[in-house]
Amino acid sequence: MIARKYTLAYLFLLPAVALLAAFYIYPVLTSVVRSFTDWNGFDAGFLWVGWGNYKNVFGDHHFWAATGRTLRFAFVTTIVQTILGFLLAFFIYTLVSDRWRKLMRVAVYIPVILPGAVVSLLWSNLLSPNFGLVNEVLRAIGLEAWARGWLGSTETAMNTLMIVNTWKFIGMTITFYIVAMLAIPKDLIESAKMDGAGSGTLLWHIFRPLLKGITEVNFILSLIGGLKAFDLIYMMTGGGPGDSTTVLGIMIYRRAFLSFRFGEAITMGIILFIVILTLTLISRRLIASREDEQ
Amino acid sequence: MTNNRLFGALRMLPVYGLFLIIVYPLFYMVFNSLRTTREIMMQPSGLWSSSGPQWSNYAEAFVIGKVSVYFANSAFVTISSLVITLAVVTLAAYSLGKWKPPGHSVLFVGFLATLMITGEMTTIPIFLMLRDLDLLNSHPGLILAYVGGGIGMAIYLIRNFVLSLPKELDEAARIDGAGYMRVFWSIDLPLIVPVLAVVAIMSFVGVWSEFFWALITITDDKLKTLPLGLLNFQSQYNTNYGVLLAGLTIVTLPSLLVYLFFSRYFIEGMTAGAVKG
Repeated sequence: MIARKYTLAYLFLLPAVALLAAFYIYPVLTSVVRSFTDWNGFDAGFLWVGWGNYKNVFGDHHFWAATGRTLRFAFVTTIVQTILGFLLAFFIYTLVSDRWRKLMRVAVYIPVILPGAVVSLLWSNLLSPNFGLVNEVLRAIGLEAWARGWLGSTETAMNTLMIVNTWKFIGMTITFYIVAMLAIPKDLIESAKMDGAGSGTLLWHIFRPLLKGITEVNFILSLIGGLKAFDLIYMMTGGGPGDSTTVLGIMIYRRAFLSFRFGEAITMGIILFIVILTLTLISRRLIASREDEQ
Repeated sequence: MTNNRLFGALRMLPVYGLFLIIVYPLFYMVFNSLRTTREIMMQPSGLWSSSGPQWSNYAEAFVIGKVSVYFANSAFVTISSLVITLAVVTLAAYSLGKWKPPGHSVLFVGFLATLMITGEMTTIPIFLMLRDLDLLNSHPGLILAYVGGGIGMAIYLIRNFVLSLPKELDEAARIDGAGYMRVFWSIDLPLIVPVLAVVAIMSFVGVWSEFFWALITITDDKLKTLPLGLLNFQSQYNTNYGVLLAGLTIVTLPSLLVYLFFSRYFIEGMTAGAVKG
């Protein structure tokens, strides 16, 4: 009887385990092994080159420039998104009108579910230099001097992408915060208010420490998203103008699928993975240790 | 009192501002999809067209812009991925949560670990594997990539739900002589429908929007899904704003409708891992 139960159990697991092997275990092992060879993705044969690929990548100044842009993109969007998301979530949480609170909760998540392609093309249109809405608004309020080709200049392209990225993803941060805020016992907030705590005190001394856990989740999710950023950048600037928005995701894509230098691309992918893992662990540690101080 | 009211209105300002910033671009997209390109360029903030709604923008996007082809491709790929994913993960998660065969905890950790592995580590080997199987530039290859990419989170959610199922019903059915398959199919499967809905909705929106895998595997225009097709569309209608915005509106609608109808499930699914864990 037990034997039959387990046979059935393993049969049920078979397809998923096959996918696990084909889409995770095999690719990860291949990536790691191939990064130590001169394999180019086409020939069956290859030679061991030790750390050669890593040395090449680390000796490439384009790689370092792209890494710098990636870190800037990820940290700026993450910090803005977490702080702004926290404040906006608090605003929505404290809304007196029940209808507005429900409406806002539904609305903030809309950009998150919109396809990246729609967000990219819509914002490219809104930001277009001569006929775009953004420049029209700037001209209308007397800021003609600010109107410009936002995505076409090396000075503004990166910052513009960061703003659009925040527009798309801040709803996730806000939603997590609101769900967590709703879980805070009402008595706690009421008694703090009785003791004369204003919004600022409430925010800093009650909500901030109680929401440490969710801040960690929000920070890490945005950080990982920022480090992996690809879709919006590919569709809005393609990494340009010049190399000004070429982040690692774009660089890896180009090396692999435009130059067909798979070995190099795999090596960069592994380095990016290690960067993501390390930064995630460090931020966890930092946020957690600040919790102990409380 | 007046002071209080003024303060109340001021407090609402950030909320109104946020609402406007989020929702206005969508209004812009929908309203301008019904105006002529000339009108949009002259005044992007306008709402109406002087010659009535330009439905021809939609007709042109659908037929000449080939949105109809991309739409059909996206629908096929999304629905196939969804059905296959649900079948695979339901069986696996049920087995892990209910029957717990030897090694089940190792396997569960294995599935969970996939959430840590990012695409950078796996994309190129999977791409080359699909190439060697001659599945590049085909819908089955794309569907396979989507199914493979979505199993971790789904198994995690469903398995936790299965663990919380009441045992009394099963035992009663077993005493009445029902086999394991029958208990699974007639008693437990109907009970896990809510979590399957969460998984289905989340994967629908994910696959419907997916861009990267479509970009690297599909080269034939006839096979392109909407996000990828839109890129051609953009170069074709770069200066024809009305048609471009009509195309964007068509792509947005399915995700938006699914979200608005099921927004409760979204919040549930998204926060299930993070808030409780």
